[in-house]
Amino acid sequence: MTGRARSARWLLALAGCGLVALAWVVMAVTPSDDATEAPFVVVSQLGERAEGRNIAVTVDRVVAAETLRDQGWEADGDWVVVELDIESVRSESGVLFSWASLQLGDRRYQASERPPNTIFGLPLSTGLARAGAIAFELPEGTLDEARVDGPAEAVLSFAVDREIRLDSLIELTVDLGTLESEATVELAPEAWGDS
Amino acid sequence: MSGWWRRNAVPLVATAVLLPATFLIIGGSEWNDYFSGRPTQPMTARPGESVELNGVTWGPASIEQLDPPADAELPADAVVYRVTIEVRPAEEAVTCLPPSLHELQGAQREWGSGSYEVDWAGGADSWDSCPIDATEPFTIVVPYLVPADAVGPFAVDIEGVDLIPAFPRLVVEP
Repeated sequence: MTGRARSARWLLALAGCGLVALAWVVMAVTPSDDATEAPFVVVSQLGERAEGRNIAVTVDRVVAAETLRDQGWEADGDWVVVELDIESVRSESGVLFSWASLQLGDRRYQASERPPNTIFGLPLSTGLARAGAIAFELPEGTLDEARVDGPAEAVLSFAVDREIRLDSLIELTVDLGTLESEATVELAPEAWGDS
Repeated sequence: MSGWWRRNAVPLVATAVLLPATFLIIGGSEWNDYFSGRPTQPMTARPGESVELNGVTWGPASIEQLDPPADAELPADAVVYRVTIEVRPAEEAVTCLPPSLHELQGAQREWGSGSYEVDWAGGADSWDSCPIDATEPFTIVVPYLVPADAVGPFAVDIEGVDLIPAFPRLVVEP
């Protein structure tokens, strides 16, 4: 074998390895099927207004409670109460506060429909915020576990439709372990908020 | 090679024509279905004017800003408008939904009937949409609760199943 043929063979082997590496990179950076229809996430902070396509949310307070009261209604449990201002940005026809969820690990909880006066499901107004509260009822012991075992990050998310694919989703991360906690929380009444 | 091109000239030209035509016809038909199934063609009437659609005369429309009563619970930065629309049906009864109010400038936001939030602002004996089986002229009166930073002129869009894809768009200036 001549030197020239040998170097050509090395070059081919190198090119082959390069192509395999390139294929691996392409596979690694290819978005998943879900990514093509994932919601557009807007990360929010407590007290900060976050705006998406047709939703603007300001979360004013997140508090844990053992007992939740709502104008005469009352229930014990592991409650996470979220006080917020919410409005639609562009249009209001058929626009409801339809998505409020708390993701903890691989479990997702929807805002409870048990308290009679939460603003979950409320019709929204364009440019005029409604203020009020929603509540999540978690399995018993979840909050105690979070306090003992340390960081338990929960992601709150809000949207104007149950169909969140390719639409704006406002997200706020809270640590259930260090969350402000009260024995009894009275649900904030629904009112006009600050736009 | 040139011989091959010449021999296959007819199928080649056919492919060049038919391939884009296939996409255009299928895509065009899909888009046509999409646009004809929803209100996409506004028939615009300028302030004080009316527009005729399906034999029905829509408008003229007017808008006035209302002073809320002392006990009304309203957001601090909100304005209440009342829109009045004259409608003269043809021989057949006309149907329509409560009209929506659109900003024509800026963010082009949209508001629906505020007859729930500001129930005092509607007309006492009037309709906020087309009355059922209306064959006589009638008036639609709709209140809107709008943030104070919304700027006129506004468009009042009236949607009706029988009208789609056209719809009357009546421009009103506060």
